[in-house]
Amino acid sequence: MIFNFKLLEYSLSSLWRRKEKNIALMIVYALVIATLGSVLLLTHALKTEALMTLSAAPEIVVQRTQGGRHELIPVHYAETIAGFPGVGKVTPRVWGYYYDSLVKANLTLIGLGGYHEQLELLEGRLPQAADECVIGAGVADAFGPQIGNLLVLEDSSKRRSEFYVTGIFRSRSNLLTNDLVVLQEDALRDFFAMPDGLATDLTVQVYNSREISTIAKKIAYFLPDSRPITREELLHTYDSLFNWRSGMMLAVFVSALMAFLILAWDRATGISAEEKREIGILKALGWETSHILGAKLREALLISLSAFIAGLLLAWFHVFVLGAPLLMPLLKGWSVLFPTFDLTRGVNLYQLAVLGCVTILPYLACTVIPAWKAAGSDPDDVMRG
Amino acid sequence: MKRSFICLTVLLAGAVLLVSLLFSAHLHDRRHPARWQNKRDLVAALAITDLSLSSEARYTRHVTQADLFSAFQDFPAAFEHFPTGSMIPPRPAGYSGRVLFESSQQVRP
Amino acid sequence: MGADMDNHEPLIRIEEVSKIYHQGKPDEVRALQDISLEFFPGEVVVLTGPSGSGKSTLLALIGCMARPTQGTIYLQERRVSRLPESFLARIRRETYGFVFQQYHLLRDVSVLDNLMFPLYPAALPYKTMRERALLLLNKFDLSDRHKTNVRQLSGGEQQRVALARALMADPPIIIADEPTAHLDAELSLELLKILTELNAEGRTIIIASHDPVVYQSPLINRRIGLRHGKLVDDNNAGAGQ
Repeated sequence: MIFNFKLLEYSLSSLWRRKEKNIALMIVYALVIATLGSVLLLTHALKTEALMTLSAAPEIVVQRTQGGRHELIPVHYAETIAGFPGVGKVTPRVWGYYYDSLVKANLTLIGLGGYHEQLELLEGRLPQAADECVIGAGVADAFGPQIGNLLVLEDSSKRRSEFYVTGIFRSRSNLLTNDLVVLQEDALRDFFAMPDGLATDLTVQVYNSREISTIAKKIAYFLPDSRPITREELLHTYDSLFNWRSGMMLAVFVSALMAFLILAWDRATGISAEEKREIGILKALGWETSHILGAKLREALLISLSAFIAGLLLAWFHVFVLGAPLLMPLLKGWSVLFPTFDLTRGVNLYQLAVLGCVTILPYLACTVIPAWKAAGSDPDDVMRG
Repeated sequence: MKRSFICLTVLLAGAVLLVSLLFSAHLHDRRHPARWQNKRDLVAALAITDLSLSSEARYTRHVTQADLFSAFQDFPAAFEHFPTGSMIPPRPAGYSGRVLFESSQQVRP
Repeated sequence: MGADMDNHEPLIRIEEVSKIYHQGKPDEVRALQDISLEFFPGEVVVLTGPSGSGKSTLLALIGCMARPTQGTIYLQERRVSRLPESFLARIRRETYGFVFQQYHLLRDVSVLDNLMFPLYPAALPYKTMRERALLLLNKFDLSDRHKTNVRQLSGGEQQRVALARALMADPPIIIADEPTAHLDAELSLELLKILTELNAEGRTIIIASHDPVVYQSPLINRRIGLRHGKLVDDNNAGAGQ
C-alpha cells in the first residue's frame, strides 16, 4: 500500500491540477521552515564555536567581590590557592575595557603574561616590549592600522600612550579576538594605573578536571570574598545564552509558524467542492475510504516533505553561504565591532526532528482529516446528483 | 508513472543533498582538527573566557565574568547577562553565605 | 438475446427491499418500499418511471453503492447488502461498470487518466491498464484524444469516455443512469446500439431511463415500471426462469 505508485501518480495529478494554490502554499511553507531552520542552524553554529573553543579556557577564574560587586583581587590570593592540592599554576590576569568615543567602539584590553610562543592565528608576533601591542581584526578594520603602525590610547588622566602594532589576529579567530588589544601585562597595569599588588582576576589551572568543582568550593571556603567561576559554568552560560537568544528569535517567528498553520488549516479544511466531487466519483467507482486517505496523505506528504527539504536547504544557504544576513541584526545589537566570522557548519538532528514534527504533523493532520470526512460520504451521493 | 518517477527523484535528490551537506560538515570537522586546535591554543594563551560577539556593553562582552556594571551580580553564579540572568536560574553555587536569625537572651530597651 | 440464455440462476436477487433516507428525521424520504426483483444474466433491463420514482435509488442499491434500510440483496447468491464498505468497493470496482447521468468524469484530467484513475486501487500493472484503456478508446473512436483534457470534449465524446471507463475492468454488469439525458435522438440510438453490442458480449445491462427512445426500443427485453418507490409494472418478470 505504501509503495502503491499508482496512488502517488493520482496524488501528483491532483496536486498539479491545483498547482497555483499548491505552489503558493509550498513557498510559504518552505519560507517558514527556512526561517525557523536558520535560527536553529545559526545558534547551533555559535554554540559549537563557544563550546569547542572555550573548553580550552582556564579551569577556574577567581574574581573578588566586595559588597556583592566585582573588585580587584589581591595577587597574594594566588599563593593561597596554589597551596591546594591538585592546583597547578595560578596566574593573575589584568584586563579591562577602553571606549573610543569617535568610532563608539568598546575595546577589550588584555595583559599578556609570560607567553611568547608563536600563535597560528596571529599574523606577526606577540608583544615583547612594553610599547608593543597586538590587535584584533575588528579593531584593525574599524581604525585602519596595519602592522608597524602606532596605536595611540589616552589613559584616564589624558596621558598619551603609544604602542607599536606587532601583530593582527587572523580573521578566522574573529569570534574570539575581534575587539582585543593585547599588551604586555606590566604595560597594561601601568596604562590602567592599577596598583602592583592587585589584578583583575586570577586564573587557576587544575590538573584533574574532575576536581575542578571541589577546588572551586575550597577556594570559596578559604577565600570567602572570592567568586570562582569554573569552566563548566562558563560553557553552561554560553549554552544557555544561545538557547536564550535562539528562544527569543524563535518566539518572534512562532507567530509566522502560527500564521502558516492557520493558512494550512484554512486550505485543508476548505476542501473544495471540486475535490469533494472527485472523491465521491472515485468512491462510487470502487475506491475505498483508505485509498482516498492514502492518496490525500501522499499529497500532504509530498507538499510537506518537499517544503521541509527545500526550506532546510534554503536555511543552510542563508546561514552558511550568505552568513545569515537576515538574522545577524537580531544578534548584533548595536555593537560597532561586530565580528565577521565563519560559522561552523553543523546541525542538531534533534532540533531538526522537532522542527519537522511541529510543521509536518499538523499539516498532515489538517489535510487528511477533512479528506477523511469527505471520504466517509456515501458513494450513492454521486448517483443522486 | 513518469510523473511519480520525476517527483520522487527530485525529492530524493533534495534529501540526499541535505543529508550530504549535514554529513560533509561533520566530516569537515573530523578532517580539520587543527582548525579547532589553533583556536584552543589562542584561548589558552590569552586565557580568554568569552566570545567577542557583542561588544556593545560590558555585561554582554564578558557574559561569564562579573564586573562593576553587571546587571545581576548579587546572586553568586547568576548569569551576568540581561535579561538571561533574570529568567534562567543559575546553577546551584557550591558555596553561599547564609542569613541566620537566632533567638537571643538579651533584652534591649 | 440475453433472456434466451439458459442460465436459470438469478444474477441479482432483491428481496423486500426498502430504502429510507434520513430515517426518523423531519426530512425523511421513503425512496423505495418493499421491492422484490430478480435480474438474470444477459438481460437488458430498463427501469422507468417519472423522476422521484426511485429509479436511481434502486440502481444505487443494485450497484452496491448503498445498503438497503430493510431487505436483502444477493449478487450471484452472495448476500451483499450487509457487507462492509471495503468489500462493497471491491465489488463495485470488479463487477459493475457505471455510466452516470452527468457522466461524472474527473475534470481537468486527460481522457486516458479518466479511464485509469478509478482502477488504481486494483492490483493491475500500470502497463496492462494503459493498454486496455487505449484499446477501449480505439473502439470508441477516441484513440487520438487520449491526452486531451476531458473539458475540451463534446457531450457525445464525454458520453463515450464514460462508457469506456465503465468497461475498463471488463465488468459483467453495466449500470447506466439516464444515459441519454444529454443526448439528441440520433446519439441516443447510437448509444443503445453500443449497449446492445455490450449485451451481445454477454454483459447484463441495467438502465434507468424515462426517455421513450430507450424504453420503447425493441432492443430492450424487459421494462420495469416504478412509481412512488413501488413496483408497478414488470413486463417480462421471470423471463429467464
